[in-house]
Amino acid sequence: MRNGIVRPKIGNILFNILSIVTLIAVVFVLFNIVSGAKGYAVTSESMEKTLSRGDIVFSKKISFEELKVGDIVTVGSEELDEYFTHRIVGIDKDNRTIETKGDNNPEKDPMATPADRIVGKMWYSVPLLGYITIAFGSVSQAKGLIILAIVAVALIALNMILTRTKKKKNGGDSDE
Amino acid sequence: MNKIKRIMTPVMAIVLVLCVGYFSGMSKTSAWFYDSGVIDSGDSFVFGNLSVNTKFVINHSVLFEATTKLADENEKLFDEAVNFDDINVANSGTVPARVYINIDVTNGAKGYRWFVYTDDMLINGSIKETIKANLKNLTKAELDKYNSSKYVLLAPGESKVVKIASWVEYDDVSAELMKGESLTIATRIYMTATQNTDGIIG
Repeated sequence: MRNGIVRPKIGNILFNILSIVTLIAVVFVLFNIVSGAKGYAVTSESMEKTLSRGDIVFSKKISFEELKVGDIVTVGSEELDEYFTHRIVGIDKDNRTIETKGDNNPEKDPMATPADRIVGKMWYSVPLLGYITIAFGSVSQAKGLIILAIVAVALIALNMILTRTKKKKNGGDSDE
Repeated sequence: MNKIKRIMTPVMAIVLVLCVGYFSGMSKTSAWFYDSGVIDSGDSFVFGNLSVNTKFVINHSVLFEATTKLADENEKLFDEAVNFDDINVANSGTVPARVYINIDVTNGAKGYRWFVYTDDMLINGSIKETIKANLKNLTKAELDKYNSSKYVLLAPGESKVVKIASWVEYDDVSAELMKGESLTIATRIYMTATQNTDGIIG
């Protein structure tokens, strides 16, 4: 009798948690897609204490003229999928280049960055979420997709098992 | 209500997995500047403005007249059978840099082994003693582990000679050397210079 009362409650709690987490995740993802921000997972300590390993930086496109010293920018190459996110410490308007430095690095970065390599200015950052990217970065994309598919199937299977168990306990259809 | 839950739960699971997929597919951002190239023996590897997108490919062949075996304690002529390549590396940039070396045996020759070192590491002038002092076990796996993590540190403006000792293990050797002929193995020597530090750790 006691179990009969507890199990539906646990199911409800799990369903509510899943609903809230999914809703937050969907709103967050859509918000970034609609706003045009692109996320980058921080994998090094060069911007400690402003940015830590495992953070996600969201950067938005900005014109070269709008940049100023002190801004944090993401720089890199979309072709090579290689980026870094550092603070601007100098701007050469004549040559259209910027000098950058990691807050935690002893020296400026070894090369000036031309304007066309600036991907965007940091808009905001979210801690810890980047560990998802870092974790999946250590496996191939194909393996990552397989893992995600297995997780999805496992969740659906778990749901089906819980539903059937509940039906059996109730001795038939439990639809209200 | 339960029917809605039954339908919504798998839908939400799939949507959540798609959201995780969105985060897992993001690009990474770090600040590990590097300059890499593949060089021929005797050439110099000079780097200055470390960047994030430089690559070169040059092939290099190594001629072996004899085989040997690193783990064989009775093998007294190991140093004689080893081929040595010297590479000058120079840091003309403004930041301290590490230089890593990797060798790819393009024809997949069995038995090919290599060991990267600098002259200041040599023990009693013997490469075998030096290798033994730097490896836990005299196996290929240990050699690979050592070579992949070994780097030479160069201050701005500093230059050093990086040495590569290579040999062919007689247990794995190809037919040519068994017959007493020489063997040429095509290799690619990759050199990569990176920032020494990416953030002050510790």
